[in-house]
Amino acid sequence: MSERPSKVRDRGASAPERREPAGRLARAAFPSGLSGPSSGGAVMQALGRIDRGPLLAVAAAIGLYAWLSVLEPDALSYQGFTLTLATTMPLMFVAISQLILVSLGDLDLGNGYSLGLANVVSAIILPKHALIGFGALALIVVAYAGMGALVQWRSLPAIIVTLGASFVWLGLALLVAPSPGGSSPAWLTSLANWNPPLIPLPLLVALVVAVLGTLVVVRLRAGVMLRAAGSNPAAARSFGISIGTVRVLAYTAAGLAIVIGGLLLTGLTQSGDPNASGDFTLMSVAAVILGGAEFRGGRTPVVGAVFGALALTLVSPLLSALSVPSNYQTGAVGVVLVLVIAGRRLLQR
Amino acid sequence: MSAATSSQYRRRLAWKQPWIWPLVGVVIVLIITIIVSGRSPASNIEAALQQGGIVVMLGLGQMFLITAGNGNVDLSMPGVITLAGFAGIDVAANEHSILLGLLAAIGVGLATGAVNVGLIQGIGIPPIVATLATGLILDSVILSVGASSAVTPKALHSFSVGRFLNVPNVAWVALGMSIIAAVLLHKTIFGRTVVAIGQNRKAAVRSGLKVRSALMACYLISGLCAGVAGLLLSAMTGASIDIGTPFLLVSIAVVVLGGSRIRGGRSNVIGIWVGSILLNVLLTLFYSLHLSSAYQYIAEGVIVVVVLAGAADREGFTQ
Repeated sequence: MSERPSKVRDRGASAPERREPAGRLARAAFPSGLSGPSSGGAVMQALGRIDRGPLLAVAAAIGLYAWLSVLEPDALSYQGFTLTLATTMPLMFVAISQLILVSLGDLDLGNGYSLGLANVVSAIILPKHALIGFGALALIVVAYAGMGALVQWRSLPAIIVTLGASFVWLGLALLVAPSPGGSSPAWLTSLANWNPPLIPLPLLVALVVAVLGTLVVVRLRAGVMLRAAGSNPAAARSFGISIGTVRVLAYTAAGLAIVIGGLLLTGLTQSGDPNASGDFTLMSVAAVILGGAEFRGGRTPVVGAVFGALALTLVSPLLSALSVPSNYQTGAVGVVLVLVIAGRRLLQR
Repeated sequence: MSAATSSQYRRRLAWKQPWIWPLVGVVIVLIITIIVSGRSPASNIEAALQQGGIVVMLGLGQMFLITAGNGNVDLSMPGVITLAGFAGIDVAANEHSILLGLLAAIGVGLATGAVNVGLIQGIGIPPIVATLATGLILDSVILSVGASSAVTPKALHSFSVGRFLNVPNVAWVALGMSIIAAVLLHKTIFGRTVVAIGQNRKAAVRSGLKVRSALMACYLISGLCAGVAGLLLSAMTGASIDIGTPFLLVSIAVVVLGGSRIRGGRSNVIGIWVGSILLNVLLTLFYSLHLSSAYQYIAEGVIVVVVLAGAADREGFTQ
């Protein structure tokens, strides 16, 4: 199993009176096993703690890309890579947003439509009135924080709150943009289509998100609290962690990821469409599951979610290269999902 | 009045029913309808029952799964609705038999339910992911067969939009299915098992209940309900590729609105009716006001969340 952080115990035990029960509580909060401190720098330490779960998503993404490259050698070029994977960037952020909630044991069944709202706001309002546009995007983040508060303090199931919210997102998006249209602000277009030296943008974003995200989750207090709260809320609470604060902060971060994803979507598609992004909900769930997260919470495989998103994006171009009719592409995602989980279950036995 | 008698008195009151607030909502919406249109809301209620009947059938299917708790839910429902519509109408038109069409639609539902059960119980995939994957696969099947659609047989269409005693036929079918569902749930060992699983799965297993086969039956029932609803819906408006899509959210929402406990262990068939009538009289009101569908979505979402937040105190959602 994974090496669980000695750091957790150190931080948790910082208050002297908690020193004695801290170890026991840490074990309770992280039942998946603890071992001695790992050596090396922060990144190596973080890498050492990655469990095997995400490996599958990484292998799937690399394997699918290798297969695609055999069929379409152009895919290996800088431009080919950028073109093939550009659409993965919004999904990556939606998957991160989903992952944050899933690691708390919650699930967002409305993030496709909140992404759609961020998309139309940044395509319709932002180009004309930058200030109002950013204000509206900030309100999406605030609304996410509100959902977190509602889930926490009214003890509501997140699935239903986010499901209800999805109606509201869609309605608001339709008010902003009754029909698809708009444009992307120039700065956003150049940002989403930036060609960095050497590394294609989608890969650069994937690596930055994966490394930064993992560091946040493994090293920072917020990440540790997130995992503790998701893994064993009762233990985390007696550990001095306020589950409510964690949940509200987590939903805020999730909302922020959605807004970033929406901005990127606008930058890539150059327009806003309230209905176009509904599929992102299911894709984000698929990416997170591919990445090794579990619905009961407590696991936060950032690398897995990022590469899960990459792998899922690759299904469509790969099937095109194999000249499979586009009708079968969504079905293929379903089959991949089933095979991945079946494979993981077999390995665990 | 002493505290004890007052609480006994309260227990007898109808407003202790979990669906009372949605019912109040229905009345409010109907009053607004009368004020706005100046006419009797009879036609609105009728329209609400037409679409609401479909929603009730779907809600019944989800209700069994949600009652069983433990994350059981059917996300493949939109796919079943759409494919059952295509298959049912195709078979009914080609074989000139509505019965065969109905069997085809039910067959699609049962087959999907069986696949779901296989994935969940055979491989151990969490229900949300398993039914999500089946739904994605169904989407592909629909896209491949959707191009070749037959014309709805006249008899089937006129049944689906027809009325008996001024109540839409669809609502009668839904009523029949609701009665069967209520009997199954409250009067049979199967039903008690489903409730027991929702309350405490471990305890249900330990006490020797047939947990696995009960769950299997729940997924088959959910597929069956979606199959029947899909055929009737497609007969009403004609089969189309995304006819089922809007119904996933609604099918789960009416179960929650109706006061079934979302984490399982308690269910309410009458509540599903109240919930789906509420959503549909609202829809009809917005339609008659010529408001954009945007406001309708916002109102539906707000209602689901507000009703849920209001109910939370009594429901005890925490596990």
